[in-house]
Amino acid sequence: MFFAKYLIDNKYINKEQFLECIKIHQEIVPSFFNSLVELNLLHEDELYELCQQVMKNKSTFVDEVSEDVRDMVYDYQKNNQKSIAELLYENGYISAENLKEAAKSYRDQLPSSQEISVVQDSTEEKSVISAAALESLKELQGDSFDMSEFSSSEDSKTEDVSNNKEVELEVEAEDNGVSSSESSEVELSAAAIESLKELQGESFDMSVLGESSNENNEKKVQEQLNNLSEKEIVQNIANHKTDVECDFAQVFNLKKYNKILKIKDMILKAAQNDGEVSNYLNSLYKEIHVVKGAAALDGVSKLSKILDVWELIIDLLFKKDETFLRPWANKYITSLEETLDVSWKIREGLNGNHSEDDILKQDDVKSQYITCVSNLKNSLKYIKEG
Amino acid sequence: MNILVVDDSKAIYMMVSQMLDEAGHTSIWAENGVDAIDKIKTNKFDAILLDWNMPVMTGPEFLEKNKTDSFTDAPILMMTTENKPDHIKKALSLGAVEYIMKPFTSDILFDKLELVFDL
Repeated sequence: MFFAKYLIDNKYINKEQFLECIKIHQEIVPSFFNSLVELNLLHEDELYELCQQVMKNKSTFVDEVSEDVRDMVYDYQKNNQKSIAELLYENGYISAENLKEAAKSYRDQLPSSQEISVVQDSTEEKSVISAAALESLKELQGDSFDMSEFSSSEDSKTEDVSNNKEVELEVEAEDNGVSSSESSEVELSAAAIESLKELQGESFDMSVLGESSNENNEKKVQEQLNNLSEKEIVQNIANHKTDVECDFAQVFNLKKYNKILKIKDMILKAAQNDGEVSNYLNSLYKEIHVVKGAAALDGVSKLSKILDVWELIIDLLFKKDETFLRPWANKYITSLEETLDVSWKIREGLNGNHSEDDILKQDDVKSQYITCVSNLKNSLKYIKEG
Repeated sequence: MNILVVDDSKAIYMMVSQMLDEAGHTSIWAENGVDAIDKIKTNKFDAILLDWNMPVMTGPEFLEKNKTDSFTDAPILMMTTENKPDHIKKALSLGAVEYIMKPFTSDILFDKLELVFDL
């Protein structure tokens, strides 16, 4: 039995609510072409040429791009869609508590190894929730539901990945621990707290505001990331502009900047000395994840996207062995400096009350940003070809 | 530095202990999370190297317990056998400050300590 069906059969939701979420699900999945543009994988000329090919051959964009590009677009689409459970929750059709309860009872009735495939029969996508994935619903904490653990992977059995995707909810086995509730002194203004409360709705752990040190702030951001999807956060920020203090500047401080540079140096040194690059990538992933989260929390969306691609790159690199990682690091790890420079300039600009868009319009920053995107694109291409 | 090495494998402890000894550090072994809590009650540690999978109390369980009971504020470095984003995120969200994939060399161990302590 599918989880969605289970929810309906047990009257957690009704069919109309389910169908409404399916409809929303289909609407929010970015189109293939839009994803292609968003990812900046092709130059304008190449995009134009692609359009010509599609018209000429009466084909689709999916048919005309290379397999590597297609894979990257699929990855992007999967990372930018929401699960039905997430949509049901977001639309208020089911509370976090009920979702947690349903997931638990649903899981209890299943053989542990069984994969529950289900769901949306649609023209574009078919999503599947694995049995293991359901465990992740245990990540529900109080009123907050951990959306950040939602990840997706392609169904290897599927021939046409453009029409069939598997969405898995990766899991954590334990049902506690993440949200913090310790009391502490409040540093932000009451107005800022109220704004943030409104911004994040019920799912934001207000104790995050209590800690004053950067380290604690970073930890809290990390925790918040595990409680909220970044898409959700960015969306909320877009919907509710706020005067909240800039967490991004606090998290991405000089110490953090230097630490990431240090990790970059360690990676380069390992690559040049036949060392173990992979064991430094996890440190880099951690730092980038935290900075990206802070950027997303503050609505620094373009930088957040760049860092998201870095995460994607590291994720792909985790699957490679050292014979691949060393040459990759020798060739591409220095491009991290470019990303850091752009990030720092954005940080400084934000501190000067400029918007991210305005900062990126400055010639030097724009040039660096373009180089940055180009380097990431080349790096991704290298990894995909490797 | 005095470092608590929490790992059910004594071989791993011996390996790590030797690395630490050679660099002038001291170490104590705990074979699981419960044992680690006992050791923490009677010793002061500058850092904790924590295995993920252990009997009695796993690494994540130890981190969760520390989160609620705060029996140590020493930085905790997670040791696992896999580089996985979800593992990294979970370890960090539970309070670990670094992540080391096993097996590792002394260079990696000390680089990680350098990152933690900003040496």
